[in-house]
Amino acid sequence: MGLNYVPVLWNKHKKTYDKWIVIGMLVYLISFLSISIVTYDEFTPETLIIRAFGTLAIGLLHLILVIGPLARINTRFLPLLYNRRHLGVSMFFAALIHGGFSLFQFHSLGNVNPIYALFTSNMEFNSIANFPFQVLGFFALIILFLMASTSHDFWLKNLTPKTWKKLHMLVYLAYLLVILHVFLGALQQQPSYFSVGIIVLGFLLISALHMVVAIKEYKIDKSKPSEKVEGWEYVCRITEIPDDRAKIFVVNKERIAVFKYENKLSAISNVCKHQGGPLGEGKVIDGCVTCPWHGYQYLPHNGQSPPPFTEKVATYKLKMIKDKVYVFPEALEEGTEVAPVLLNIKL
Amino acid sequence: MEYSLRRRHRLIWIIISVIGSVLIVFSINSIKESFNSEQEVYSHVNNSGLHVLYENESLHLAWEELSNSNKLYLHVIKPFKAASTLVSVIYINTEEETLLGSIEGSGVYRFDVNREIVQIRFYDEIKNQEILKVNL
Repeated sequence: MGLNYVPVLWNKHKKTYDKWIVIGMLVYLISFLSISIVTYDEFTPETLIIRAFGTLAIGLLHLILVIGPLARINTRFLPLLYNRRHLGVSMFFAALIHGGFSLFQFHSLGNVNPIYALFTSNMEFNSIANFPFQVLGFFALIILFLMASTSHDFWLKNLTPKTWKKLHMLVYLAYLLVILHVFLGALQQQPSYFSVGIIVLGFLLISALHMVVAIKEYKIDKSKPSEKVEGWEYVCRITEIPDDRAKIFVVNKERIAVFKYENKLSAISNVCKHQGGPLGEGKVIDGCVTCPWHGYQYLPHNGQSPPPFTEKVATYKLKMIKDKVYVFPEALEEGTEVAPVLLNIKL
Repeated sequence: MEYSLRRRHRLIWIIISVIGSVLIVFSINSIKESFNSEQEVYSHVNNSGLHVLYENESLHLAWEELSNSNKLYLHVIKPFKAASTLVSVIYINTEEETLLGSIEGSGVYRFDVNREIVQIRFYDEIKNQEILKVNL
């Protein structure tokens, strides 16, 4: 929940994940450097650093990009989603070291500004084999910098979640730039079946996962209510909703989460105000609907975050006919109180 | 996630999948360097029964006859003491020198050659000096 822009809670789990991020990065760097020193005897320290941090940044970017679709496919990956931002900032620092050392190694020894040299030392934009690939990496680094510097919830609150999300979706453009940076740069000069194969596999994996999720979501968006009674749309039978969980229902391509809790039923918008997380995939914890992505909470009967927090989501009217649950598909104003439907079931 | 955001995600990934795949194929096709590592090429030069033309502690020259084109392998063990070294050859039945390329440091260099060579020359283009001449 957001209050005074300090919702990043350094809880025990977050610290554990951060520790594993640091350990993982160190293990990779030490392994890369050791193997390089043993197997490749012609290098400079700058070259080794450029390669080690470049490959680390690419690996982390792939990991970051698979977390989203994996969490949509299987909820076991949700804890990774919860900690993805720290992984993103770590990846930016790895990319920054790679870019900084590259600029130093290749462009800082002349008598012109290194950034100017980066853009003017190779102007073969019409050639694939000799394309100025460093420019692509530079623009990717700018995007990653914008994302890392606005990753805190302070910026999410100030830019508004919609703008923040649009800005952070630029990571996909950064990914495409990075892939081309690698294919038009390092792989043109020193290709190997392993390096080409692993980057192609990574691209196929990420694209396939995102497309699988996109198709899955598209099918859900296209679903139509099976029954309508005087404007009320049939959701499901009451037995289909587990306790303290929700059934997600689609109305006009937007989603509603119908929660069963404490022998009651309430419906709220499925979209969390923080980052658009699917509230209907979360649980009711301590009487509050808890977003599975970052733990933002809302009261099910009015869609309001419990005081002192101020987030609100739309609510919906529900009714029951025998054991069938119906929703009125018109969203009420965010935070509107709706009396829950009481169930005559012994819990 | 709202519908508009889901739709944007879907469009972005369709575009990335298509554009990315096409550009990757083009960039792989444009790779001119050997996919084999330097060690693999070195091993090929030294162990596969290529015809060795010249050998000393800093340079190995080998010749490979293939069905479509012949290859000249230069394994530079110690780099030449020149800022820029050019390699040229004189083919059989000609007197004209043909430039093959430049040597920038130690490593294995491969050149396509289409006829039998009688002489290979290494040349410092800045000092305008001959570094090495190998008559075959």
